[in-house]
Amino acid sequence: MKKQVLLGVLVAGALSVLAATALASSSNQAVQVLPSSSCGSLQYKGGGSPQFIIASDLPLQGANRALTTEMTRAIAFILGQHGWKAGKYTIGYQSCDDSTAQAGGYDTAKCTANANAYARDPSVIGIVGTFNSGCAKLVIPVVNRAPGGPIAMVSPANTYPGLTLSGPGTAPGEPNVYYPTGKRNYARVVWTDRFQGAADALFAKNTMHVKNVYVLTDKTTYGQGIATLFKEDAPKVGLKIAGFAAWNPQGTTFQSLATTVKQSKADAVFLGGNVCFQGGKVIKDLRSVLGANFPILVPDGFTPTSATWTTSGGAANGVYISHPGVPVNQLKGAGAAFVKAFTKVNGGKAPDPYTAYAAQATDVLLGAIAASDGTRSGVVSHLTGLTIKNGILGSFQINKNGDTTLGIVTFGKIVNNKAHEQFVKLVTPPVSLTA
Amino acid sequence: MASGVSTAVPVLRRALRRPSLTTPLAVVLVGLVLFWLVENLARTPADFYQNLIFGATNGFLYGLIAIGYSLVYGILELINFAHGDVFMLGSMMATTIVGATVLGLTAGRAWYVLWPGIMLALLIAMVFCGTLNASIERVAYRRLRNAPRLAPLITAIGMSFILQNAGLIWKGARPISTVDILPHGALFTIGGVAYTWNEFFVLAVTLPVLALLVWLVQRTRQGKAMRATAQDREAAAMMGIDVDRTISFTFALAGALAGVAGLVYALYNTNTSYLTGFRTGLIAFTAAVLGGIGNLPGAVLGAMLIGLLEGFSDGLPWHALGSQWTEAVIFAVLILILVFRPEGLLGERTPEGG
Repeated sequence: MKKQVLLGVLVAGALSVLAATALASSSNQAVQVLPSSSCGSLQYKGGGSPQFIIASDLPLQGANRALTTEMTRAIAFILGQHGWKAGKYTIGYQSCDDSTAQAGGYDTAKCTANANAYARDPSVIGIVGTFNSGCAKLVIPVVNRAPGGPIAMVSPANTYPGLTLSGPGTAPGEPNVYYPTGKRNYARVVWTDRFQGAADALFAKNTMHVKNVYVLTDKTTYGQGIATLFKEDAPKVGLKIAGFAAWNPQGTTFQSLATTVKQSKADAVFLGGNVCFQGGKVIKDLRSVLGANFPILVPDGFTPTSATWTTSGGAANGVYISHPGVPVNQLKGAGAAFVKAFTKVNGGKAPDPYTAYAAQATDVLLGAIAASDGTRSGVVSHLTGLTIKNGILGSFQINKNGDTTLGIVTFGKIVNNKAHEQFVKLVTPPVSLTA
Repeated sequence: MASGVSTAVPVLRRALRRPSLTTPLAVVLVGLVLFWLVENLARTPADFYQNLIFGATNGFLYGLIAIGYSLVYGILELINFAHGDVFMLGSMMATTIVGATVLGLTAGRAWYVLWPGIMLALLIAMVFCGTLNASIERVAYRRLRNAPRLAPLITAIGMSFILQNAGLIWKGARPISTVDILPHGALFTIGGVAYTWNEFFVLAVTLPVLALLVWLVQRTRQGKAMRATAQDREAAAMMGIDVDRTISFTFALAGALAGVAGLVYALYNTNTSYLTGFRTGLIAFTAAVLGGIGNLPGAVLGAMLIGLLEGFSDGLPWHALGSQWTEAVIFAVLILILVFRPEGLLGERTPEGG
């Protein structure tokens, strides 16, 4: 009998400890966390408990894994610098993955599932993402009609113009198809391919000194978009287009395609596509047919350049690459301070350019939240027209479309050094080409 | 009433009679393709020869894989969807061996350093893929030998996913590069186009392997057992043939061929990834169907046709649809061939084939 009483006391004690722990943890976690199937655990190092969550939506598996995980660290770093607060609101952070290992990059089903999870979770006040424009096309409309009002979304990397603009390089109906409520909830701190396509055409003409360019695309949203823009901008700067064709992103050999380029008498090739869709192999096969030093220009879809170097088996030596934005070692003021501070917590490695954009995107989102009344709609209404003074990327504004007013494109050359890239020059395309 | 039925059946049969390759429509289609090829040859002979070389080289490679599908189908009437992924793992194994620093295989090394290294990689890739394929048969397919035919088919698809994920875990999502060790110099020129040593390598490995396979199937005791098992499993068993062992041997042989293809692919294309097996396997399977599944020369013929079609569609300058349409062209040709000759070009009529 005594034993039974003792046992009862022990069980009651254990239950009360469990209940107390549960109560304590629930009081620490006022927010509703996003599902662990796609998102990491809630990060919050501020006082009390977070009132809202911002989620990042990036492909954390596949060719860009090293880059995107660094971007998530930069987002948490910026939140830490702000004391995990945006104005008077305390903010937690969850890193969500829109990729699958099988796809080796973003997966459309994951993009949609994540978007629905953000829309359903009332704690989600904003999103940093996506990385890929193809994924943004799926996420924006879902979070635009979220039950509590459109969720603000700031992308550090989407360059497809059709997400915010109509006109050249976009599809009919864009961008309105992405905003079913009619309210713009999307902004980006990276400039669109319209700048990059124009800058690429100028660079090919003035720096590569080529005249007749063959354009190839991998048929993805991004690849087709930037290839089309290059094709349209090239004649405006005095370049001829020798041909326009696509490579099969699941293909294994592209030598016959290279002979088509050879027949066209092109003196350079522009590859509108991604390294993760056989871009490296395309470079390799082009150069095996056209010569080891044949001029090739690629856009930022071929980052990280280490991946382009490896997958081309070193054949990418001397290939020119463009990136929207400025290299991290040329950032000034707050940008230089960020690079210095983040390098310390990044194991001594300087951040990738996109990491700086992720940090800037977080800053923009926190700025909009701080200026808001704490509702989703309030954040969205403060997103467009937001002015950033001495930000990580410089001073700029988010215009009414959600685009940044900055527009510099960096050109590099892929070489066999530690970073697999060597800085060449900065190009700012004239308004006549980007309007 | 009875007489009505008896007259209706032949009429129905006549109405359903399959078209043949000699029907006017087929003759016109083949004629158009030939005209297109001849016109391209006349206009730009160099481009024609270049794409002929690329296409034929890829065709031989597809042939090695297609034979694996045909061997297994011939003996079990099973479409082994995992075969393309066995090939993919073979290419990864070959890349690993060739890249091993201990062998010191780099471009420009003397032939007496390169060839023993390549032969070693070939042997290891063959043993690895042969063992893997035989193990798959033992673990996944043998128990389902008497199950409804859909069961092993679904199992094969499942095995394909398992192997794909094994490749993903082994080498990661990013494509991997194989050390480019084969010489790229011209062996001879045809119409001003160089036929290079690395292209010859594909032929130099593939042809002896195919000859060896034909000898094995046609001239050896084991080959006779394979043919007997393929013809009638029960009768073969009654004649004292160890059917299980023969089927295992066939899988090991098909796997070894996938290993050869893996090495050839890795050294020729110098690039592989965990997804390589899906696309290449699908093309090789199409080749096997085109040639007549279960028929070994048919598999090689189908593979050559697809390789050439791919090369010509991608690269010919006059009225070619271009690389974005190549896969559509390949499968359109497959559909046309199956409409006119359901058993494939060299195949025999089977329940699936017609």
